[in-house]
Amino acid sequence: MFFFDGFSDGIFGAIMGDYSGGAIGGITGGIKANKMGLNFWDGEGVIETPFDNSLVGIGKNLEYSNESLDDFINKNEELFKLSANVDEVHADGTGPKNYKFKNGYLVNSKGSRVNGATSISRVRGSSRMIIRTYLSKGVFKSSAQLYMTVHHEFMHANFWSFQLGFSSADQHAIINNWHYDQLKAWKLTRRASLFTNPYSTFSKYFKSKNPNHYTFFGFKTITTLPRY
Amino acid sequence: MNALNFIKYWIIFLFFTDCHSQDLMKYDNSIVSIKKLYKTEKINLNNDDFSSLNEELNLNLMESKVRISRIFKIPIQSVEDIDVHHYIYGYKPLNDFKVFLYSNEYNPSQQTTNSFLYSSIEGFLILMKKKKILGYIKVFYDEPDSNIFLKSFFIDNYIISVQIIDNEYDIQKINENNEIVEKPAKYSYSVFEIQKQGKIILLKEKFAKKIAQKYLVNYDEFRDKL
Repeated sequence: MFFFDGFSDGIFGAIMGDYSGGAIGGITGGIKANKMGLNFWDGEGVIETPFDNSLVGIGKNLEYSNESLDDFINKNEELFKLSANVDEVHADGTGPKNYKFKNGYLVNSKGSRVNGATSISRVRGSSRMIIRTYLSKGVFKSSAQLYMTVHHEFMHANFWSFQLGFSSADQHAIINNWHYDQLKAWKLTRRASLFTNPYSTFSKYFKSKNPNHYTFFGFKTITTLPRY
Repeated sequence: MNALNFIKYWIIFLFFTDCHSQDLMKYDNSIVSIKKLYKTEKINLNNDDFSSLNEELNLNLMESKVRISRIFKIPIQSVEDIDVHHYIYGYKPLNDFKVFLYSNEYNPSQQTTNSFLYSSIEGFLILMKKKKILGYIKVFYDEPDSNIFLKSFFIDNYIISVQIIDNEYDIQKINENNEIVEKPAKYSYSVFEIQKQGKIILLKEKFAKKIAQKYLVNYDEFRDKL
């Protein structure tokens, strides 16, 4: 049996095993493996890695309300077109079943925060579906972020509405390809690096090449920042 | 059995084994990391300022937190124009040690109100003796609109970390009977034990599985995945 030596008043050992395992790490004293894209355990302090998917600071901070959201959708042609397949949009602190609203964000049933969410309810005895989109307060910090999130959720709505048979993973692959191109169209290349940086969760979608491109389904990017 | 029958049975076998394996939590000791500090940092944390930790360490759902200065031994991800705030969510005494739940919370906006809206949030359990940080474990990670989510459970002297990969993170389907229809997410887990003398060990699969089964069975989310 081997444990790290170290402190006179306590020992913090990175020992792997059921009481008989060997030491790992040696010099660094850590287990250096992480699938979260945050492999900084062998160092201390700051790592210069693009990290945040937020577009805060780009565009205007908007009021979180149903009226403000309706107005925003009406002023932006692409969102307005896509909204034809959405029955309800909510910016009022509500969310799908089993979601919570905490600290300005929708929290899904597993406890993770989302910028927006879409629910698809099948109507009994009919092929009709009711599609509802819900937005977190957090995305209203930036009109660019709000545009991205509403477009993201409306793309889901359109995929379901036309019953194209894509899995959620496939939908996200197509949608994130659109995100990437939209960022490029806005010349936000620093943010776009999220999609190619191996530490970014977005890059995982982007790299999983999908033969279906968003343009096949009528989705477009815009070159100017959204109106508000 | 002719070749056609064999292929038929093989496909059925693969279908069921695939479904089965996707439903169960998988042991994966690479989802988390331990960091031992050789050069420690002394900090003043007054127990009276903080509440006791609950079992589930999900910073998205915890109500009580106290903002503190940065603990420099805990790394942050740096991006221009983004402030990083730090909080203590509570603590738990354990033998001669104290374990604090500390966070890095990334705030990209120049906030004008009192309520901060954070994007990415990381949580760390910090093992302390008196005022010295001995080491830390990352136990929480959440970024809005990411399909990867890490949360943990701190029960007795065990820390069970669960990583969830969920491609339906922002989609909810409801059937004709008004029931939610969820495609199973992929769950993986690892287990740490904090021993009496302050050693933290990462358990091997056999032992980790017993601990996860014993403690997570009380949670609906995991009951059919253990």
